[in-house]
Amino acid sequence: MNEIFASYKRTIIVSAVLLLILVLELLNWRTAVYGGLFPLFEWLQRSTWLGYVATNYGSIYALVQAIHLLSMALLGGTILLMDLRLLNLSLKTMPVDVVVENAYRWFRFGLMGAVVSGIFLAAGVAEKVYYLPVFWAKMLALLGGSLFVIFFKIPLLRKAGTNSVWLIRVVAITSLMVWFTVAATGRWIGFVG
Amino acid sequence: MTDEKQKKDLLIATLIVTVVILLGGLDYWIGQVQTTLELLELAYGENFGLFNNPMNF
Repeated sequence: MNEIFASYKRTIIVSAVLLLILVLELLNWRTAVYGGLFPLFEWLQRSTWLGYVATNYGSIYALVQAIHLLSMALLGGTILLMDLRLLNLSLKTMPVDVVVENAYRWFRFGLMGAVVSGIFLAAGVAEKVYYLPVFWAKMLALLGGSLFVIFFKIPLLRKAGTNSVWLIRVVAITSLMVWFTVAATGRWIGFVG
Repeated sequence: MTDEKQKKDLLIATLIVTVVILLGGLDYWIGQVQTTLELLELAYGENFGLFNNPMNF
């Protein structure tokens, strides 16, 4: 038993987490938590200096929005570089590991910039975004996409190399879809509410 | 051997997560297209076609 756990630790943990998510969904846990989150959003917009500055200083909000868009561009750019190379559609003459390692370094900066600036932007309209399903879709895609890249995509490329070609291509397509969802839902937030 | 097992473990875990995320994403976007088409049908009736301009009655 111990040997099986030691050999398939990652698979067992992933299966357990997915099963837990399924059980919590069946128990309507998400709906129960959702209602309790509003005071946090209200507090973020009305009682923090972040919310105060974001609501009252349009120029600062615009500046941070520009930083957010540039961070997203950096993030999206590195994702495209990595995934198109993995699909063998671009930079074909460069080794996969060189492209991935260099792009991943910048991916982390892009992610950090997007998250930090995103918190400020959300603080300015926290009470509005709380009611937008598309905001939650973006947060889920962002969390899922980040965890997917950090804990699965990069370790897979570092450990398995390019031996599992079919899996690497499916991973690249999935990654492109997740980050497309992050970008599309992000823009969507700006057009609703 | 241990390294080989770790690699296999990583491959299986990545495959599971990839399939779940891919199906979740497809479900989300197919759902969005379906909802949009239903709303357009509600707004413009049965004459609505995907490649028609709904403003031309």
